[in-house]
Amino acid sequence: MAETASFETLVELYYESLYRFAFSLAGSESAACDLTQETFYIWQTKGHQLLDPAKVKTWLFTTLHREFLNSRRRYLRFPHLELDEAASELPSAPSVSLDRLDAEAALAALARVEEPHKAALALFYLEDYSYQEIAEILGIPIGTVKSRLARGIEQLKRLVLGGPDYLPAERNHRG
Amino acid sequence: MDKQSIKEILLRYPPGNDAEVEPELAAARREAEKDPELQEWFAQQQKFQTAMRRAMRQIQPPASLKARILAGRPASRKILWWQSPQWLAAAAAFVLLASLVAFWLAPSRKPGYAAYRDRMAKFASREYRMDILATNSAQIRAYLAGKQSPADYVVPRELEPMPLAGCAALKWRNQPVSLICFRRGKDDLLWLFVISQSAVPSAPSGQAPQFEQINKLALATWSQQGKTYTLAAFGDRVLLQRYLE
Repeated sequence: MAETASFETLVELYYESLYRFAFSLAGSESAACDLTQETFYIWQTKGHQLLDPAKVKTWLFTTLHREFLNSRRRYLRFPHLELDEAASELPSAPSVSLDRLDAEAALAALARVEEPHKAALALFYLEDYSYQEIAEILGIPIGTVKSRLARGIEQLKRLVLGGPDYLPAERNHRG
Repeated sequence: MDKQSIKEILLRYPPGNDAEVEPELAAARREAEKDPELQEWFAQQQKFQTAMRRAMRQIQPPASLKARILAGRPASRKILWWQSPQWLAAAAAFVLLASLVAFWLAPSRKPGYAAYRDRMAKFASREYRMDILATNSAQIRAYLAGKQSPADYVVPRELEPMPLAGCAALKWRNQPVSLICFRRGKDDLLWLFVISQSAVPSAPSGQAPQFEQINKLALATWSQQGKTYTLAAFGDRVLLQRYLE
């Protein structure tokens, strides 16, 4: 079996991208840090089971996503509004010029997207993963990946750009 | 393909990735290039995709995260002589014998405050759960009393107005512990653990809270009228002091 990179090398290579994925899912720095740290901890105890070292990145992302879902199951005991209910209470976000779209605005929009689409969107934007790779990480069929991306991107555009026409703000003629 | 179908497919065209798109995407792109309206739509779509990708990749982890991760790394996997089975067996036997001797010779003592504090911190930060979700104080006290868990606790004055989320009846070394959760903002919680003071005799015994920080979790512990209280939240001492003034 080919040698896997040292633990320090793996951390150096992937901790930032894993953190971005975790933040996209969890929406808070503390939760994202915990998820990332937990993922590497699990690697320490179970990484030796990975037979193909070339799959280590996918393994890490899959593990992080699974840990997020596990924590989410515990979190769902906490009384909170489902996103659809909360959306009507949230102040409507002003449309953003794409040139000024920053991480905060992008994440705010992603947080309002329906739950099933978020993980696929995060992997799509953060890592340039193929549909096959996204399907493998999330444990869903490729067809589901495609539909979640399409629906998710539709919602994101509505949230970021404002309005159903998907026109960028600088082309909004209402002003 | 009609226009709507082409748009449906091109919605998920990856930004800046012309070289390696799958056949379905490539075919939809070729169709779009035949129609000026679709071309314009696709150009704007890709502008959006590019902006989203750029924005998402701006997310930066805190400076301390890498060190935290590396601090948890295991020992080298290289097998050293003292890790051979014979030496391990001998070491295990020795440890067992030494433990038995220590157990029989050591004076009886209760598990310390540090063990209790660490266990509650771990519960709050990794695995917390609530038995019931409730926003009514009387309901929470009634539930805890029914579980023979501390129910006549005193909530600090500044903490009382915070909305309740629920509670749990826990056990620590067979001692009942009440957990009362308060909601702080949209996504955060405050955890208040209550245990009989006699169960953790080495815990802070005065009413003035003792503050500690375990990773990202701030804790404050004090004792009052025979009970020991620990308030925990993600944040720092300043955050907790707001509720303990």
